[in-house]
Amino acid sequence: MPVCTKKCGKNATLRRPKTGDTLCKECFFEAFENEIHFTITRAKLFKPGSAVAIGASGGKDSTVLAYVLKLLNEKYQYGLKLVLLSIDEGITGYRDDSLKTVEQNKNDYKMPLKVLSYKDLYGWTMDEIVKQIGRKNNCTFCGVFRRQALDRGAAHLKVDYLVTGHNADDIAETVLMNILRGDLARLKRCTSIITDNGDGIPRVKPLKYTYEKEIVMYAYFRKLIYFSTECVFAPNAYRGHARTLLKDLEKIDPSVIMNIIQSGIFTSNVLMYIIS
Amino acid sequence: MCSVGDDYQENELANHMERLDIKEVKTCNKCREKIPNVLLRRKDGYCKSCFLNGTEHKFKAFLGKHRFIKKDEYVLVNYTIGHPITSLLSFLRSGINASTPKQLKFNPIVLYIERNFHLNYEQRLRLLEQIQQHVREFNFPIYFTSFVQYACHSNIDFKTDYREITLNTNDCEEINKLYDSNISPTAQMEFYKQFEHRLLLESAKRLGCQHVFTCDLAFDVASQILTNVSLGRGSHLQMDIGVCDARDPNVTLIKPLRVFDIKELALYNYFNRLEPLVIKEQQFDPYLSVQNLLTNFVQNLQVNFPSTITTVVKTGDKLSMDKEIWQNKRCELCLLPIETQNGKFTSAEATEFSHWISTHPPDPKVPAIEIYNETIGATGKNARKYCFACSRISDFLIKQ
Repeated sequence: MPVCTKKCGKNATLRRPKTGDTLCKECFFEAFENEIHFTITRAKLFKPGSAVAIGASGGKDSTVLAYVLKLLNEKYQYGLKLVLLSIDEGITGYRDDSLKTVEQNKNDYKMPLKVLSYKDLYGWTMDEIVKQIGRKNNCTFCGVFRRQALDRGAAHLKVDYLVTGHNADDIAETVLMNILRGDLARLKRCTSIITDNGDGIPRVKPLKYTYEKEIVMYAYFRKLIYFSTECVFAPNAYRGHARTLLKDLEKIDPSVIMNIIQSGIFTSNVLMYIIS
Repeated sequence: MCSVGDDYQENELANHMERLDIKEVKTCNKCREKIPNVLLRRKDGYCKSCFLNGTEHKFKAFLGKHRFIKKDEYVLVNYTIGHPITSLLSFLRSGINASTPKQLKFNPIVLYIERNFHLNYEQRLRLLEQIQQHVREFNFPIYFTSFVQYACHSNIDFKTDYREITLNTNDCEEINKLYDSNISPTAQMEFYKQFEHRLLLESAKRLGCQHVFTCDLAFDVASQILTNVSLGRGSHLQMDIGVCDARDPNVTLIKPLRVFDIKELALYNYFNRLEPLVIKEQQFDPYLSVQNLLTNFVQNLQVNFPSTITTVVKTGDKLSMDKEIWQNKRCELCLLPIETQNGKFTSAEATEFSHWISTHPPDPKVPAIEIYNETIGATGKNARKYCFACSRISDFLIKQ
């Protein structure tokens, strides 16, 4: 077993996909949390004293995000007021179970929780929508509804920021997908760490440079409770191609994920230049 | 949170294109009279003569539209074995011989870069002989040069006869001395590509050519775009995949076949009874390198989503380079300008911090970020020799 590269003297428990360094469990926690702290401070994500809603689905990303944000907020005194915001799409066998996990997070992290449901907002649950339109394009409805639901929830909670658990893999995948379908407008904005659509509440991605694999390892070693079932309506959509491609690329060379984001950032520079 | 459906147009692309069989197409798309012999893009049928005229016209229209080449200039044609070069030489010969106003008025010179060190001596020699024979059929001058001599000894020697070229049995070992033995196949392929690129530019200058023609097809361009993005070359996309690569002020690299697909050229060769040179392909493992995986991906995509190649190529074309970047220092490997961060928090910086935090023991008194900012962050980037992507492979390079 290789030794921990942080020179603590212990044996390493894992190899970091991003850098290839080997770390023991304790040093991994320290490095992982520091990286998110570095992202928050370097990209000046939050103004002190702001109210922040965490888009919580009960999945690994949002659970880790909520845990780490709470920890960093206390450790480095960001002065943030953290709230959990969940959307109940009304999917039996998926969201009903994952909301229980969010409830658990609420109690564990002592954060207020607001749940908004599609049924209350739009009069339809996803189950009813799928019954009506079938399994084709149902994710399109869900995506549009969720975007708006999160905005409405954040406005209702009167928060200054909405943070989501999008990780490095998600962003790299979106870059690839936007290239494959030639969507320049989305290619330009998909790598931004803060997206502000003008009148709405800025959406922030503090896990932008965090690998999905490390999020899973962090949640596992910290024994965090999260919900890991895939949506029952998970489609065989175009995004699936980009996802499989990215996973294959990661197997060959894990640094590809960071390279793709880097390329995305520079192409968005160029696009801004063209548009201006 | 589920990100499927966030981009709510994502199912649009899943609409498969119309697929026709050639028997279902009754008349030629162009002349509207004859029975089609060829079906392109799975929907457009053409008769033989319209197809051949159309293909030649497409080549000339490409050159005419961009007006790269002036009268009597010299163009170096990079010979790569296969259908594309055969069509390209035929397009050039028929264009130069034409007596119409659309006659091509420049002088092509063919160059073959010998890089077959995976074959044995006899096979290499036999191949060179066949290449010389092939080019002579089109009546163009040909030069041979050795990749190993350039990469290992910076020697560029041009031979007009294949028998004069230096072929050593230990070329493979020679080339392996260039880089660290731990090198990944991905980085190795990148090295070859960069060296070949530089050799082409250098050869063009020495042979008095102002332009270089390469045989990249639309398919190659699409997989190159994805490869470049995956290797962090997003800022230089235009140079590597664009119509014209102007990184050198004196020589431009042009991809005149980027508007074609392999089916068009194979059929063009077939109808004209042109025999391309055929060699046994090296075994292709899609999971060996990033380049192989993406080539394989684009190949598979072509089957279910045939319009994707065009979409990717067009997306790439729209990503031009920031003009201001040209004032920056050039990368020593790829010769392109080194990117500047402009205060942005990039993934390069995030990775640098990740490596730093993973290799430095924590100090109980001072927060890690403060130490990092004071040591690494404050000194800024040292005078960098390589661009982002090349810096990732330069560690493997032993000598240049």
